[in-house]
Order: sequence, then structure tokens, then C-alpha cells
Amino acid sequence: MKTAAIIPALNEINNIASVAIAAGQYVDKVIVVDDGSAKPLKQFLPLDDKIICLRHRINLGKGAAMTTGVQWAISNKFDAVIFIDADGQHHPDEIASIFSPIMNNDADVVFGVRSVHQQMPLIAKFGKVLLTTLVKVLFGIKVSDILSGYRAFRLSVYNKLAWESARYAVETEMIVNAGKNHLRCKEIPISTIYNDKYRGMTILDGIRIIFNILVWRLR
Amino acid sequence: MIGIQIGAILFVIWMTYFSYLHYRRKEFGIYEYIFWQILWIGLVVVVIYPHSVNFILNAFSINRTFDFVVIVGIIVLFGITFRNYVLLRRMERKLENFVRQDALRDKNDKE
Repeated sequence: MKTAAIIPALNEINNIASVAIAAGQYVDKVIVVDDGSAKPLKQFLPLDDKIICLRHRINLGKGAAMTTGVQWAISNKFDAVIFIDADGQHHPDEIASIFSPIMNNDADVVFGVRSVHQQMPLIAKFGKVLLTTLVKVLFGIKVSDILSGYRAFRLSVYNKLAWESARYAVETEMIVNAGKNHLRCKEIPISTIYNDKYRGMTILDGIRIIFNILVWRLR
Repeated sequence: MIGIQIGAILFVIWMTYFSYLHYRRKEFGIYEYIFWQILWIGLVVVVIYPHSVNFILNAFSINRTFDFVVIVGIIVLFGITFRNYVLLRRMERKLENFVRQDALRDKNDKE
């Protein structure tokens, strides 16, 4: 099975090289999607055939960057992809365990699930519980960590999973689409490194996601 | 003639000139230009002859011509806002596709 890691990134000049190199040990290709960073991320990446960098000339959002990575993987005949955050909060050595249900044909989509621990910011804990409950009530889908960006899927099901969200609602939309299309989903516990930031997602993004969930229910 | 009528007429003259300017710069097509001119002429007629729309006021139980103009204005604004929203979404989609194809093409060219 030909696998790729897709890393949507914006201005992650400090972490991108280490994340890409580490991920490269577990997949056939690492696709860094530079979503319009002020300094092109390509100059911070090592010269390695395994790592490629696709650059958006302007910032389109995480969801759009993920779509670009997936389209490249599809056009280059990959079988499965995994998404990793560029800020280094995911352990690349967990890639194999996340991919394993797909390799064993036990699942089409695998979600990495973070455990709630003390370092997790209170607002993130609250957001996690609120969104998980809302999705479960409205769609009957139980995914313990809706906002986790560490997830993999088989590219043959991309048409059923494809998202429209260009920004942070993408994670939730993927789960909703997986549930609506009855894809085989699995959860794998992951550990998360909380660095200096929780800057990726804002409260406003959370409110937008809640609004989107309600709209998707009506769709 | 009261002040608000004079102000409205000056506004209409100003907007008529702007419409012509956009048409001359070829930013408007002929139909767009005619649409806007009809709108401005209609407004100036209502401003100078408020009783010319009495039949509409009676039909819809509206008391004053001013109320009628405000109601029509709000309806037009809602229409324009909706159209702007649709156009913006369309532009967003086109831009996203363009940037994505540019990123993918750029990579393929270098390989």
C-alpha cells in the first residue's frame, strides 16, 4: 500500500523540518502544503526526494490545504493518506498504528483520539466535549475527539469523505460525511504534545463549527 | 421643495454621473447602465412628484411616500446583499481552485 503524510502548514518555520523528516520514516511520501506562509516553507525543508512542498500563493485555510495534498496524492496513485499537524503536536511514530486498521482492511477512516490531560487548555477541553456531544446527538456518530487533526483514510473513499470547508470546520465535516456515508471508522488513542501555543484555533472558529454542524444537519 | 428633496435630487445627479462614468469605462454593459439609469430616474420622479406613487401607497396601505421609498430601499439592499454574497462565494471557489491548480502545476513543472 502506497502511503503519504499530508502536512498543512502556515508559518511553521521552526517545526516543519523535524515533523516532515520524522513522518518520512513511516510513509512513502511527505506532502507539505505551504498555505501561503510569509516565508516559503520550502527553504526550511531538507532536500529529500521523499519530501515535497506544494505552495499556495495565498492563504486559503487548513481544509483547502488538505484538499490540495489529497489531490496530489490521488493524481500520483497513492492508496492512503494521513494528516499531521505541522506544529509538532503529533508523534510521527504513531503513524504506523493509525494506518494499521486501513492496512488490515478493518477501516476506511481512522481518527487519532487525544486523551484529556492536564496540559490541555480548559477551553479546548470544553470545546471537545461540546462538539463531540453535538455531533453524537445530531448525527448519531461517536468520535471521542472531533477536533483531532491526526487522522488517516483510504483514498478510494475520498469521494464520500470530501469536504467543502476551507478552514477549521474541515475536521468536523469529515466526521459528518463519514457517518452519513456509513464508512468504516476506527479510533486510535494518540498522545499529544502541547507546545507553546494553542494558537491554531480560536473561539470564533469553534462558534463557526457549531453553526456549520447545525447547517449540515439541515442539508 | 423641502431640504430632503433637494438632497435626494443632488444624490441622484451624482449617482447618474457615476453610472455614466462606469459605463464609459466599460465597467458596465449597456443593460446594466440602462437598469441603473431607470432606477435613478424613478427615484427622482418619486422625489419631485411624491403623489405620482399614490396608487401604490393605497394598494399596499402605506401612509407616506417617504415610507414607500424606505421600504423599496430596504428590499433593494437585501437583493444586492444576497447577490454580493453569491458572487463572493463564487469568487472564493474560483480563487481556491486557481491557487490549488497553481500549486499542483508548479510542482509538476519542476518534476
